Amino acid sequence: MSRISNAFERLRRSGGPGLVAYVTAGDPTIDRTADILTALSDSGADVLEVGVPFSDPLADGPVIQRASERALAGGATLRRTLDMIARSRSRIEAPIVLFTYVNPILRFGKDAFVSAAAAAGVDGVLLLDLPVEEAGPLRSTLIPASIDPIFLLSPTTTDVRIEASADMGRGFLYLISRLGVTGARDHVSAEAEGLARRVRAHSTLPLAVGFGISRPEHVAQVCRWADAAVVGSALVNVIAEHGAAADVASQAGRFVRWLKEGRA
Amino acid sequence: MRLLGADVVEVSGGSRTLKDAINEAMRDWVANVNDTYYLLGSVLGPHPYPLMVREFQSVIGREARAQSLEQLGRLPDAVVACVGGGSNAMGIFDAFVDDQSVRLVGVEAGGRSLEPGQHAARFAGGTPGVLQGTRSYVLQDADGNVELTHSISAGLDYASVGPEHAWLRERGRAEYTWCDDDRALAAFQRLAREEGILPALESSHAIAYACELAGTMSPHDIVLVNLSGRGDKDVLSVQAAMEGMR
Repeated sequence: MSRISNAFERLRRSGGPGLVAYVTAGDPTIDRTADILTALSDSGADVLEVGVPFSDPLADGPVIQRASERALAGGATLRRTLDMIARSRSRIEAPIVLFTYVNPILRFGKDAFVSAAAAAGVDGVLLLDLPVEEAGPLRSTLIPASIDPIFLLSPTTTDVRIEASADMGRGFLYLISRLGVTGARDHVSAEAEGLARRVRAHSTLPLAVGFGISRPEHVAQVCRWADAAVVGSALVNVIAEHGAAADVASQAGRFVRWLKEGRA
Repeated sequence: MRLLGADVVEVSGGSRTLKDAINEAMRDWVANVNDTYYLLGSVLGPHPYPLMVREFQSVIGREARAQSLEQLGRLPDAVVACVGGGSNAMGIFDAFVDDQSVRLVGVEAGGRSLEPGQHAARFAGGTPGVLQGTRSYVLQDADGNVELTHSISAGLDYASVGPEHAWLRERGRAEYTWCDDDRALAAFQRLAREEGILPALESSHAIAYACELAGTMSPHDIVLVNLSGRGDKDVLSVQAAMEGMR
């Protein structure tokens, strides 16, 4: 059983709200990202998503776009992200999912990427712009390396594509709560619960719901009908605010405790 | 665009070039997909956009081929078109793809030089990659980040190229070359002076190369150039460039 499946199994047994925490690798620096990931894991994040900075983050809103720009300006790359994970893996308990656009992986080389990711201790890979119809070759390289391919589903995804993603996915399925790009919102979209219901009809995989989730009440609300909530932009904002400060990692950890427990 | 009633919104993110405008358009589209149609203006983007746009543009090729047969009594020896995303080129090439005697030549933007960031000659400086839903040749760095581009003509200033062009090139059916800013500007002026036609700066790349190609051919050979756009839109940038050269 993969580290991701174990994390969700633990969550199901505990009945508590699940939290997937996203950060962009290299924001503010690649070494700080390692400290932040450690703090997030120690503070109760159930799964960590590490965003690989990319020049054209099509699915991201302004907050993660800016984080990506800062990280690229600081020299962060896919290779350096994997090196950082490899260096710090032993002190991070939570499973790590790479959240990336497909082009850096194609440039790295599919097979070379999968072996480097496996060696670094990556547990899952989520490709924002690789449609399920095109995902076969990468998926069949990831699975023997014990890396879970994670697929995204949105309110416009048809039942046929939900079924295909459920069939090909491992670890968990990522539900996009609303149409649009990443970014914090005031309310959880009403469409999200209906999407979760549709997906449950096709899959027993755990469901994580992201896009627009930024507060403990959102996390609690989502976890009534899904296994975990994904918080990205709101956490990236905290990191941007404290980026230069020595305690950025502990601030990020505090934010995660607040999200999970409603108090810091 | 404003004359025709459009709201024009400036893009402040990324490198503020065409690719960033496309990123923003796609972000808006995914948020408003229920009531928004994304009109893609080139043979790019996810399937089936490249095929749709090629089909709509192919009228020019069908007409040019029919007129060649009618007015010249034969097919041209070469067809030359500029290639940004490559819609005008796909449109005119498509009717001639099966005519093996006709050379198909696409002309990319050589910009200031072939240094990274100074041009948009994807086949000269790019490698296969995925940008904005299309797998084709992309100007990118060693880590898969998309490089900045430059061309005197906005319509050629893009880091990737229509995937069917990459396929025609790999099949050996079409060939691709590039023309730099200065040669395109000279061709723009030449056509204005000698023919009284203001070509778009994009098309001026094709004209420049067609003139060079014609110099290597026999006087009886025929070169068909796709004059894909008008230069009215370009007079200000041409003026600025000419003043810069003085």
